[in-house]
Formats: sequence, structure tokens, C-alpha cells
Amino acid sequence: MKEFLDFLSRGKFRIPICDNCHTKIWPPSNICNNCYSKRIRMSKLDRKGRLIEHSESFIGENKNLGLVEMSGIRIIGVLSEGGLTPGSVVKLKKCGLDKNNSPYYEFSSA
Amino acid sequence: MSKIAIIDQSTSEFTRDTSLSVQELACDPCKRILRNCKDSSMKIDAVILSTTSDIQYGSTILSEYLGIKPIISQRLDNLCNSGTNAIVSAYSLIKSGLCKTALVVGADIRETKGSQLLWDISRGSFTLPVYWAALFAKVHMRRYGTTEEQMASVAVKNRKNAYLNRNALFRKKVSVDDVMNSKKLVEPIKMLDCSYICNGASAILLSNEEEAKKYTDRPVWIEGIGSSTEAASFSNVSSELSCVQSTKKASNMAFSMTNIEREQIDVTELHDAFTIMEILAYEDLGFCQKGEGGKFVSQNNIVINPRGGLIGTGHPLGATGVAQTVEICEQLKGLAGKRQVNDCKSGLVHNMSAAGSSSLVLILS
Ligand SMILES: [Zn+2]
Repeated sequence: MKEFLDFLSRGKFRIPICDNCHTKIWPPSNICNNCYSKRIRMSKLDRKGRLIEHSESFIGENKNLGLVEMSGIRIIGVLSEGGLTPGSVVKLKKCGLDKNNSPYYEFSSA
Repeated sequence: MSKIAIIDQSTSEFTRDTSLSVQELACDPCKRILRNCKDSSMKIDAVILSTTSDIQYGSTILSEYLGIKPIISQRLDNLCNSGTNAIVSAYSLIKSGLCKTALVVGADIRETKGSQLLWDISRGSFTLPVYWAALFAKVHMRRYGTTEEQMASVAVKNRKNAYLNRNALFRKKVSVDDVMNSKKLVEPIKMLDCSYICNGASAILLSNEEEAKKYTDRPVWIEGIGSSTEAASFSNVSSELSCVQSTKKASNMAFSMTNIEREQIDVTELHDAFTIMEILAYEDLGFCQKGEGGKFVSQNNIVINPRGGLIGTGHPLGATGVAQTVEICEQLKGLAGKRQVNDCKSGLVHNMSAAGSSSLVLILS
């Protein structure tokens, strides 16, 4: 988890993948949830994904948000543009840690 | 094998503000139960405190406050379904023969850390539960044509039921228009579609058959238990957001343990954290077909959430599952006063955590 957040703080999206069985470990942890190997490697993913569902938040500043499936893992992120519909192909445009040290992810159309 | 009974139940008034600690709140519903125990010379073998509040040694402190020395004392947390999980643990302690009786107490305060899921980093900055509820609602609307008015009708029904519950937090009826015009939070979820995290405590006393006979002539029997843990994170909850997989599994497991059929359930307390989650629960518990939950709101065959559910009564996280069970016990014993469901023989409790990542179902008679 710490390594994931370290990469994220530098705007990089890397997730642990098991060297032994190639499982993508999501949400990230330091042990494979399939074979329990600790031989895991922080790896790049294809940043393209599919929008599963989206909505609009009126809590605080208005934001479009969406649930995206990207290389088999799911993330809720901000949608930086309107007009996207379920099934739209999107890409992870930005990610990082906000001022409260919480992760954020931002998607746009691919 | 000996059956396990719920032989007494009590709940305190749910509130918005309190100066009490979790342990102090927890004492309140236990007082009457423990006086009855003294009268029937019954010893409490186990105390299980269900709470999402971080209080070390909480159940043992509670036991000391109550002047009891149980064999087993445990604090249990599994977020919003901690309460029914504590009941299952008590059931197991009695079933094993290790204990004859067990007191399950659920208690929480509004400020509990269980209200935001900061550990689930797959949600990014969208940590509040209302975000996943909105996504479930959007999928259901798109796929099955469920409407915002149908969701609003759930809130209208549960608030109307809570009006008759003197322990409920919200005792004011609302209309569909009130819900539709309440502050929009996350499309399509509005303020009155949501349950409200509050202070509250509830308690039940369980025992084996022999002890039950000494204490009461109207025990409530635990006939079926079903539970399922799918994940902790929203990202691993379900491939389809049109159902809550853990509820489907828990429901099937509970009904497979008993001869009671779904059609025989007279009364249900289900986990309406948001109005859409009640609609999904109708379907996933098997009360109606998938996609028909929106229309099912207006049915009259099963009484659903007679105490007001989470939306009307309030949601003290660790207490909720116990409070739901208290209501079903009172209904089955004919003690529900103005809320009493006629000819009530079998009831169901459905208690869920974190976006339906885990669920628990109890069938009682
Ligand atoms: Zn592996």
C-alpha cells in the first residue's frame, strides 16, 4: 500500500502484480491475494478503461464522477468532461494525492 | 440439536446529540433485561458488544458497569452489520455448549469513524456512502426503469412507520414531494433518500431451550442464519451493480436452513441505508423478481420496516442490526403496540455493510 501511495503522490499509477501468478492485486497490498506470494512488482497498467456508471455530485463543488473498469480493476474517479455514457471508453488522465493526502483519479474520454 | 432462542429485547431512544460514552449508552437497554434476569436468577454467560466505535476492552467495561461477570466478553465490529454478526457469535457460543445465555448489546455514537470509508482507496476522494448508493441507483434506473418517485415512496413509507415508533429519530411524516424537493446530494440521491448516522443502543438476550423455558413463555426462535462476505472494497463488490450479491447469498443460505418459505414471512426489517438499497433488497432477498423492486414498494403482503427502518429510526452503525432484531422480536411477541402487524408468525432481518460488500440474514419465528 505504501509503495502504491508513493507512486501516486508523484502522479504515477502503479499497482502490485504478483511475479508468481500474475494476479493484479487491487486494492493494493503487499501480498498476493491468490497465491500469497510476496514476490510482487509495482507495474504500469493500460490506462484505458470502460465507464460502468456515472453520476453528478452536488456535495461541495459540483463534480461528475464515474466507476471505471480499467485492465480488470475498478476505480471511482472524477470525469473531467460531460457527455460520457456507460460503456464509453475512457482513460486515466491524472492521479495523485489531494491536500488531505487522499487519492484522486481523473478520467477523460480516450 | 437444541434450538437457540431470543428471550428478551430492548432498545433505547435514538438521538442526534448525546453527552454519553458508547459504554454508557450501551447500559440503557440492558437495565430492564438484567432486572428480569435477577428476578429469574439467570446468569449472563457471555456479553458481546457490537460497535464500530474504537473502544478498547469495551464489552468488559460494559460488563463492569452492569455489575455482571460473564465467562466470555467480546467487542465485535463488522461495520454496519456488526449487530447481527454479534447475534450469530452469541448463537454459536450457546450452540457449542460453552454458554447457556448471552447478552448482545449494540451501541454507537454519531461521531463513529465507521461513517466514512477512508481505507477503500479504490473510491478515490468519493469516500461517503452516498456515492456508491448513487451508482447503484443509476444502474437500476437505466436497466429496469426504476424511478426517483419509487425511491421517494420508500422514504415516505419508512418515515410514516417511524411516526409510530417512540424510539425513532425522525417522527415527522414526509410526502413524495418533500423527498423529491429535498437537497440533491449525488444524482439521483437526495437528502431524504438517506439514513442518518445517530446515537443509539439496543440489546437482546439469547439462551438455549432449557434456560428459555425458565425465563419466558414466548421465546423467539432463531430458525435460519445466512451470511456472505464478498469483499471490503467497493471495487470488488459485484460485477453487476444491479444487485447485491452478498444479500442474495445470505438470503438463500438462511432459507435453506429452515422450512419457512419466503411467502410465509409476515414482517421484515431490511437495511435501507438509502431508499435504493431497500428496492434492491426486495429483489435480492427474493421477495420479488429482479427489476421489479421499484413497483414492489407499494405491495401489502409483507410488512417491511415497521419500526421505520434505518431511514426513519436512524442508523447508529453498531446498534442497527440489534435494533432491527428487537423490532422483529417485539412483532412476533405481539408487543409492538401501535406498530403491531396482525397475525405475525415469521420474520426476517437483513443487515448489510459497506456497499453490500457483506450481508447477514436472520429468520425468526
Ligand atoms: Zn500470486
